[in-house]
Amino acid sequence: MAPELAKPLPLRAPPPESRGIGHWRWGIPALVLLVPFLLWPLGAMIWRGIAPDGTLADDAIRAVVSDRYYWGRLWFTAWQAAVSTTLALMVGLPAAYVFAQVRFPGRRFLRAVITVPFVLPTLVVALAFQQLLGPNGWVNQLLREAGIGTISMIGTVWAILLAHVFYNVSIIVRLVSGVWANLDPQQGEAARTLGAGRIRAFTSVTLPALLPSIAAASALVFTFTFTSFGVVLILGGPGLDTLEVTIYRLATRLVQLPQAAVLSLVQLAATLTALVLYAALQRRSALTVRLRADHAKPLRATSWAERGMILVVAVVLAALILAPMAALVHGAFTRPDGSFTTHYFTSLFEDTGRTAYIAPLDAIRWSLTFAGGATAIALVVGAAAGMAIARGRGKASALLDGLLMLPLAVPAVVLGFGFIITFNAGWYDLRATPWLVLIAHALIAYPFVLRTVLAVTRSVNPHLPEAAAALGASPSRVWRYIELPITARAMLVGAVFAFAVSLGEFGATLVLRRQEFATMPIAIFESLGRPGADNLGRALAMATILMAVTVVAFMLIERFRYREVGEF
Amino acid sequence: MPMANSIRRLGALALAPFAALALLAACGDDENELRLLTHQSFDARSDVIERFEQEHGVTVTILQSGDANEMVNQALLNVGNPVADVLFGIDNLAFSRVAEAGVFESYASPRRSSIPADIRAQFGDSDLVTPIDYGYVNINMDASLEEPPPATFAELTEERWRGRLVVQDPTTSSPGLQFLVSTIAHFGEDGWQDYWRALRGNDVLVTDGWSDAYYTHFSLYGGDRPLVVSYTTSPAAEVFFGELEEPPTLNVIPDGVLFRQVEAAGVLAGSGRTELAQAFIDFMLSEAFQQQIPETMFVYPVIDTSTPDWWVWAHVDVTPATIEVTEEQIELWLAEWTQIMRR
Repeated sequence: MAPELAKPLPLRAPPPESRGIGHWRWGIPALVLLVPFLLWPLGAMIWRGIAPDGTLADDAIRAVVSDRYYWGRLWFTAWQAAVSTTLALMVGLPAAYVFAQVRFPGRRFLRAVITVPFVLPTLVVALAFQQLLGPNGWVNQLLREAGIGTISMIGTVWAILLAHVFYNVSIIVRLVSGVWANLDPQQGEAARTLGAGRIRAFTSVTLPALLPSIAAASALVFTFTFTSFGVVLILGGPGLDTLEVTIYRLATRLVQLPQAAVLSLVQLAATLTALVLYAALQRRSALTVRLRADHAKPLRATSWAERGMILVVAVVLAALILAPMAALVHGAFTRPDGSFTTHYFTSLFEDTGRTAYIAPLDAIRWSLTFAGGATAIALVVGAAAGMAIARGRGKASALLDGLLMLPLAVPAVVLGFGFIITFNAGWYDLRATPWLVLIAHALIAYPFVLRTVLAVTRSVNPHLPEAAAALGASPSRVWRYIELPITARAMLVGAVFAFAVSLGEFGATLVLRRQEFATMPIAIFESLGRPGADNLGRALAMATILMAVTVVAFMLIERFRYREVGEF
Repeated sequence: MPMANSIRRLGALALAPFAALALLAACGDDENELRLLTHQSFDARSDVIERFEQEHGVTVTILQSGDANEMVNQALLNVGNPVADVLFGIDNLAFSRVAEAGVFESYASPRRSSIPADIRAQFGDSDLVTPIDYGYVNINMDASLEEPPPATFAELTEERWRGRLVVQDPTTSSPGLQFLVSTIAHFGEDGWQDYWRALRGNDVLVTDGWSDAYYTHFSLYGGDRPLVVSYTTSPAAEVFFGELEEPPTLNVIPDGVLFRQVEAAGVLAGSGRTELAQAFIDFMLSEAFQQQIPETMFVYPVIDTSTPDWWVWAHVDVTPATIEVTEEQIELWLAEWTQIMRR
């Protein structure tokens, strides 16, 4: 062979103005959303709190900082978030394995169902747990018959932890199984042929590949449980207030705003710290892995050990998630005397002739409209933001990552006030419009898309786009044919949660509502605000409808696939 | 190309919600609109509202905040630049928060004199607001309990009622606050703290709001506590909604004296539709509106009017408590209560 041919041909350097992953331009949509709709209102409200007359309210600030009670709240908040996240991982990771590696009938349906808790208002969850764990609930009835005493959990920290797992285990399952299902099994098999035991192959090959998605899921669960509001408010008790609830109690009468503002800053700092740490973990753990199409094996091909695990996972999920929801649905079809009825459902459709009446079909329509709009915004903002920081190196990238997750760290009551004082004049008077509702939902939804996009994008071989560019593809072709398909799968997972968050109205407390665009959760609260078995029944019926709509929506979203480029 | 098609389809689907919302927002702001700012418990018969709409050639737009607290916050944060024309739902506990804040414009409705003087007195007879309805928060007892109900507040601290009462947090719940004020009126400024310490020692449960107290802890709905802080009209409401012969709950009025909550409406200053707002307040004092208050909001109308049959269960023998309430006092009470009950 001629000597000159033994040298490899130099690859063409990528075009100088690469519009690929890592370019700051991708961050613009996120800024457009964050600056006017989060940073400005929040800043204005916090400033108004700590400097009501233009000068810093030193006394109030000092009073908060020196009060040991508030430091206790910070400690408790962090502690319960850490424990909740750990518990969610303990339940979610085995479940993620089962969903990723085993194909069984109803897999997609079940995966949709375990995400449904996400959309349920806490009050409804409290009702569900009551049906299950209350003094006359199913569990205590069984225990009584068995001769064991009754258990009571409401008002204890266990109720809070349990509810957190109930809500958040689906985040772990979806984010982790999404990547796990597409890991190339050959690497693990190679390790086995080289002599590694099954566990060793798992810890040194599979686990590192999953670490970014585990970090991403944990970040979301930790942030959610750290800023937990409804669960703590309704299922908690004395001494169990998180920071977010404490801030709410201080701010709700507008009199202790300075204290609320100071605590808001504390919450922001604490959450941002945790987020930055997670971001660093996710970034540092990113390995280039080979992704393959879904290769889950059918049930009969599983080993006995796997079947044992599947059974445990099934039992835990059934008890933890399916049972409360089943209790809800049961309540919607049962009269107080125990007889079966469809009366609560049919009466939902009877116009009561009152202004507070919300027609179920209207509620469904508006819920879907807001959810669709919020998800669209979340996809654009979240995916773009993910592309902007995916290739980032250094601390700046982790810091930016944390900042972009800010909406989840912000105390809702303070942001809500911020909206009121900011969007109150002229063309930007959005106070009584549906746009603020949409924006509030989008703010809380896009971090999910961001996390999922980051988890996947970083796993992709960075040489792929470079190679495509070297072969002559223009930057837009590189994006469309290499980067978009890979990101698209992740966006799908993020989209499901964005949709769920909006259906569950997590931003609802921020804004004024008009009767004309009442949504399903609002209809539920309407019914629960008045006494009467019929009102309770109607609330449960509406909750059942919400759950059904959610399951259908999830399954439809997952049908969006880029078939031409193979299922990733 | 197939992928381009699915992107296009996706794009169209994604734009649909925005089109829907844009349409809604566009229909929103028109000249012939009366905006009512109220809380989540507001309700009225549609045909009665329609009569007002036809008479004045306007549409009534109802803007609902969360609870009454949030509604007052909306009013306070928007002073001079209100988001609505008329506000309904300000009560005599929250009035001192807004009295000096310039939230309302004075208006003395022609029918004002038909409102009993003692009710008007709950707002110092100020014509910044016009009383529309009133109510009492008391204790409801599960009627299936075969025991005599507690006759006094003090009895609730006895062993017999240990762990059998559920109340709401006064910082976040309107009935919770009203119940607290009733106890303060009874035990006095210096005695109520010990009373609540005794309640805490007697295993009282404090919930965030009325709904979770009533539907998850009250024994009528599967909970384990037969006493719940609720409204004197709740038994009647149970009859109405359940189409029952008699209520499943009893009204318990400890010591026969309760704090009376009066709800009022006011013209929001600076809205630019003052006359229309005033007309709406007149309308709320009209026979047609007052008459439908029991069946829609389950409170007592201020102006004497005929009431439905099942309303008989809401007739209670109560002496309204005499107690001066200002915003500063409420904040002090709430701070003390939080110290006693939450820490």
